[in-house]
Amino acid sequence: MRIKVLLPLFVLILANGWLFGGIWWNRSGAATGEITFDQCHFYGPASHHLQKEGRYFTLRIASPAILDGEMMADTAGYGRRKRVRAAYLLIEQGGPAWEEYFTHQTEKYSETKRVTGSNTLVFADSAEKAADLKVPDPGSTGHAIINGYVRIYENGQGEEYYFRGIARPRIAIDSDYRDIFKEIYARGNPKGVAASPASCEPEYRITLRFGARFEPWISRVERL
Amino acid sequence: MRPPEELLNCLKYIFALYLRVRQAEHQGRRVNKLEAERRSRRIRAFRDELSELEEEGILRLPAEDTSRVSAYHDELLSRLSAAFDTDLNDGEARLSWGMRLVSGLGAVALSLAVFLFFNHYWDEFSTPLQVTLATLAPFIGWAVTEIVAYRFKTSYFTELAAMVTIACFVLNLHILAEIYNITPSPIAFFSWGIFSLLLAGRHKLELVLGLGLASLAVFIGASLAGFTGYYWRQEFIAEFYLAGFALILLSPVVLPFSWVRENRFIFFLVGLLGIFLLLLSHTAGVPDSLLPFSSEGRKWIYLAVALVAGSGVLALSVRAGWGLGAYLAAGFLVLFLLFKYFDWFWDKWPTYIFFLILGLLAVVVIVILRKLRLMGRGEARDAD
Repeated sequence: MRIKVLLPLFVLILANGWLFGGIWWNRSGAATGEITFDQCHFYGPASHHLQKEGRYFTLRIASPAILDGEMMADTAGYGRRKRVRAAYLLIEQGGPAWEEYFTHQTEKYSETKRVTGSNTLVFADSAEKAADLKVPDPGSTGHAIINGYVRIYENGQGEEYYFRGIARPRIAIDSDYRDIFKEIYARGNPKGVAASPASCEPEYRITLRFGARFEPWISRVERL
Repeated sequence: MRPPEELLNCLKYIFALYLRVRQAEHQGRRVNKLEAERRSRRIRAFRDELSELEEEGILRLPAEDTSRVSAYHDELLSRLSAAFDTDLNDGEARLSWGMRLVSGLGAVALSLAVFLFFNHYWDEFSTPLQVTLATLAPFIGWAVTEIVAYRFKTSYFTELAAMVTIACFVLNLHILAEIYNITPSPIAFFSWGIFSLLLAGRHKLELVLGLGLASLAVFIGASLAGFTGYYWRQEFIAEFYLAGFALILLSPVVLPFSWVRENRFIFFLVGLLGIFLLLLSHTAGVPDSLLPFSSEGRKWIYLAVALVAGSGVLALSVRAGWGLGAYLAAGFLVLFLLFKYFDWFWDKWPTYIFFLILGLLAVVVIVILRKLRLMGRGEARDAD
């Protein structure tokens, strides 16, 4: 009888223990990736999205379309969605992967229209196992492995190409940093108008770390 | 005047059942709530019929016998009510349905109140306080459920408390995963499902058991998607979730546990509801499919599966005398065929023709069902 009473309690303890154990394991030991950016990465096109309450922000990572490892010349009018596969993704900040993506975007769209802001995060590789990912490019200013997926599309002519996405793009903001992020939001949206990334002066540096389970957390926010 | 033979048989049956119950009690076996409710219903029906027969002057039992049976039934009803919270009369039975409905709605309202309260003040709380609240909530809920179950004899308050506790547990894992940026996993559904099952088993709560089984079915479906390499949050593949609900449906048949057998109707109900909803959503093209055919081919296969499953369950439920299963299957078949009819003909026919044929189809269905009823009566007469 007493076992029947205590079994639900045991499940609660086990589930929470498992969860906190996973958090501890993720954050203990050496980080598997680190990305640093300033508050200007929240302003302008293709920027990270920050909530005004300072509760969380959403990472915006460019996902170049790939066909057999090569960038597609044209992604317009893509057709049927096919399967979404779970994958480990390598993200890089700047470096050759970003340059290639940026060149492609500026060629594709008119030169007068800005296609990107300060944010230079890009998916550089994806694989079924983290060990199969390519070595991060030394030319990038930051990199990390993250859990996500690869979505396969078919363009209607028998050709398949791929886009990548992360499993949890939202990064929670710890209450210690909430006021700073509210301030960043207020400066970026004066009277509801988005600030221009060109006129943005870096004032805050934000560091994201990625742990053993490739899950991120905000490890540092500094005033510059 | 001799009492009708059916009545004597009925009395004999009740007495035999009583002996069986006593024997079971003697052997240490439990009479489950379902059996207790059935027995209570039979006693109430017996009393109603007996009073009708007496009013019409067809049967009048000697006063001594009437009072002995009545006293025995009163004692048995109170004993069953004390042990299983069964209804003592038809008025109570009707109130019980109302209480069951209100306890479900109350649980939803209270869970929403908890969620909206925290959501309103959430940004005012520090992260450590948020973590503490999210972690403690289900533990407090569990303790409250135990206190409520101890304090009140009726299970409706316990069910309400248990459902709020489950909502707290869902929030617990969800909020902590948000705060610590944890990759979403189907294991959360396993935890919620097992927790609900244990609470339902401890306090004999049917709705909570149903929620737990549905959660386990989702866990099975999502895990199958994960094992085969698909990303479970973006891929909703019908076959994986059908497998999950089919396992729930078949559990009472394959699992040798008495608790599963006792609650078999909840297992059947959740399994069937899940399967029927998946088949219905397939008509709207919502879930993907792994079947190696064109989308048109898949539609025809699922049409055949839906018709076979619906009519098969209807026939089995009618044969087994399971009213709820029969209603569920009939409702599903009607809805499914309506969806298909709409899908095929809405764009092709003028609206007045569409509804005219729909009305005529309803008439045809009534004629067929009436004929089936008459055939059933004929067979019953032949058997007599």
